[in-house]
Amino acid sequence: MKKLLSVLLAAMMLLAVVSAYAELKVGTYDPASAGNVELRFGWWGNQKRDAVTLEALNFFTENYPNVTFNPNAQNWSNYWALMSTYASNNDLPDIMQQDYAYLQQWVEAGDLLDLTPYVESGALDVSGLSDSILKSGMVGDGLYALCAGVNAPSLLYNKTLTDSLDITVPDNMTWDEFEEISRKIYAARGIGVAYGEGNSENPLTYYARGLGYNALWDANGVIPTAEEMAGYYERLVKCVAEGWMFDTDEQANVSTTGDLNMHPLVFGKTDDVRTWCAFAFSNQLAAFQAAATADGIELGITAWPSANPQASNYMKPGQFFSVTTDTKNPDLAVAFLNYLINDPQGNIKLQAERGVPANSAMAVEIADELNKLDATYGTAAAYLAIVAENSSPIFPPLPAYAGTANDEVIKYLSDEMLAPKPGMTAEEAGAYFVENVNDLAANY
Amino acid sequence: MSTKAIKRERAPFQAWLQKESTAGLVFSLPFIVGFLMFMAIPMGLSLYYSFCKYDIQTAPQWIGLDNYVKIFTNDKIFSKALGVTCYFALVGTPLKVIFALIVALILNHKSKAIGLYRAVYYLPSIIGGSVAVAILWRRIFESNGTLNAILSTVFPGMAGYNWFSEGPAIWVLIILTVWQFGSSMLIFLSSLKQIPRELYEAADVDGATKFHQFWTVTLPLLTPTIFFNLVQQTINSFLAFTQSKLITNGAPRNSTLFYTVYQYNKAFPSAGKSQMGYASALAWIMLLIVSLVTILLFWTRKKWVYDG
Repeated sequence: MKKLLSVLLAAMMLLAVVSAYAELKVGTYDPASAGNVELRFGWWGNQKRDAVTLEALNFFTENYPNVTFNPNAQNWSNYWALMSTYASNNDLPDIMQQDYAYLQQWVEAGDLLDLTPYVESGALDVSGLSDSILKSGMVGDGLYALCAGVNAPSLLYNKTLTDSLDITVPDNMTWDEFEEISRKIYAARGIGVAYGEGNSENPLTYYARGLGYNALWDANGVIPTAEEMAGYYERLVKCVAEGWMFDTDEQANVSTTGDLNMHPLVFGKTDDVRTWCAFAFSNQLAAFQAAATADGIELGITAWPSANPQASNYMKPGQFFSVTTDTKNPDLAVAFLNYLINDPQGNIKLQAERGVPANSAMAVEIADELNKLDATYGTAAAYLAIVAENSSPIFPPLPAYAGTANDEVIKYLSDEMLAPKPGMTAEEAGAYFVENVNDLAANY
Repeated sequence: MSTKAIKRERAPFQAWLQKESTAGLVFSLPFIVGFLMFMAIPMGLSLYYSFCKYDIQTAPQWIGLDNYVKIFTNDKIFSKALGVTCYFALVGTPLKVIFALIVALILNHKSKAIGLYRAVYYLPSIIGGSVAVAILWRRIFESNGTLNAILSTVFPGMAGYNWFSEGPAIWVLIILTVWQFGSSMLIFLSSLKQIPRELYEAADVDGATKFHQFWTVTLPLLTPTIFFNLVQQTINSFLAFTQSKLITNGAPRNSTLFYTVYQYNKAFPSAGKSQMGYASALAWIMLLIVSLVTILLFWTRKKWVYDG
């Protein structure tokens, strides 16, 4: 009975909205009916993101002059501390940007609004979002966040180089195919590959998923066995010995800052300090291409190699938007959220800065407009369409100890195993990895 | 209004205000407050934290000596970083002091441009720790950089030599620290001026060569200054941070990871929880090491320093 009523109500409101305001996609709630309201909206970002987000907010206000915004733009490191303070005073903004890794703890603290009733009532339209993307905003049975933009792990490669050597880089290549191509390029030009260095779990996660696991680790520790992890390190040792994979010395010669403009894919005077590819994410294509253009290099984009690319690859929700439980205007906040996710004009204003919009139909609809702003948008969007067909659901949010494990275990082992003379055998490295990560997990 | 009355019955507070010791206290108050706020209290806190598990966000948890035990028994990076730092300090400092002395001797002449020379040679000490110099240094030492371009004209084998590989990488940082010889050089210059000319004149009369004069007159009289520079620069070297953080970030394989950088990474990691307690313990160990080295230097003092 209740449900019937809500459907009826929704239908009535839909009619009202369609007749009065057809231009913005805000769901079934009419923001004009909210009276004079100020919505608070918090996000972390950068100058570009702040600018495009403000444009999208202004556009909303132009259409609904009764709704104004109090934006709160922070950088990543300040954002969470500030939001935690707001949360402890029950004074969170109506809408806040969320992160995949942190979503769960915010839901458990009771700070985020369950959006399920709004989806059921039609106030929030999620029909444009794929199942796996929608799931990434769910905790338990509740929907607490909607994805603002989608990324995927992407091998960015020097297409100008591979074309000149008559090498085709296939989509979804296996690790063996990748080795074959790398050896050819190294033999022809002496240009190598930088892989597995530093303190990131990403390549290890990709490897573990290629073995058939969903993730590298969970709250209890490492998921693959020590022998399986040894396989990862064995690969590093072998490829370094073949010469084409950068050892720690060659790595130290090319970059220290992690600054994208200094990455050997796009920076370096001679072939021996260049790489033919970079293990990156699709939203980095624009910045890499901007750096590569100076050298007349056109970049290509494809999936990271893996024993089983379809199992390894995943669509990564870049950022999320959530409505908080501190909002006094949940209906209006949800309508605004609907606009952020589904409205083509609003998303043109947002310039896909947060990644390709999760609403894939709309993403295609606005592609021409966005391509005018940045030509790499279409390339990234086309790649994501391939990934959507050739990937598995993303791993769960990272366990709390992951950051420390990166610094203390992964970095140490990659240093030892990528060294010109490895400091231990691959078997020892696999065992060390499992033992030390499990130890961290138990005592964090 | 009676001025007499005021003079006779000065309020005790006013009397206190006009005391000389009060003025002294007020004038030294900025230092006292600063010392307490930025030295004494933080040091006390850091000593307390070094016995705690402390991630900044939640309250510190007392764990006794656990941090220290872990540092000495189960921390490979600690011993590596300590080794790198000792090598840097014990090799780099003498080189820097010797270099400063040589330049000071060269500049110890009457010349109209002497002020300019001193300013120019002092400059690296000021800018040496900057990000710009870090980038410049990478450009000079990278495999296709300036240095190899120059060296390979004489030694063709040097073309493409990787200065940032394990082994030579620490020397890139040592050369940078030697290049920052300015402050030691200025101190040498001023004490060179104070060596009495009569001694040189007497040596001339005795027929001593320039080298002899240097060896028997200049050097002994400079030993107090050498000692001072040595102590100061050794302490500085143990506490060096920017070179390692900005130029190599510890790479490759932690072979250029300075102790302070390791400590910083523990306190402010790029990802994951801060280990402020652990970093505090590292800091206190470094304090002990620096104190020990300084005591050791002072102990050798009477064996080689000429105190007149």
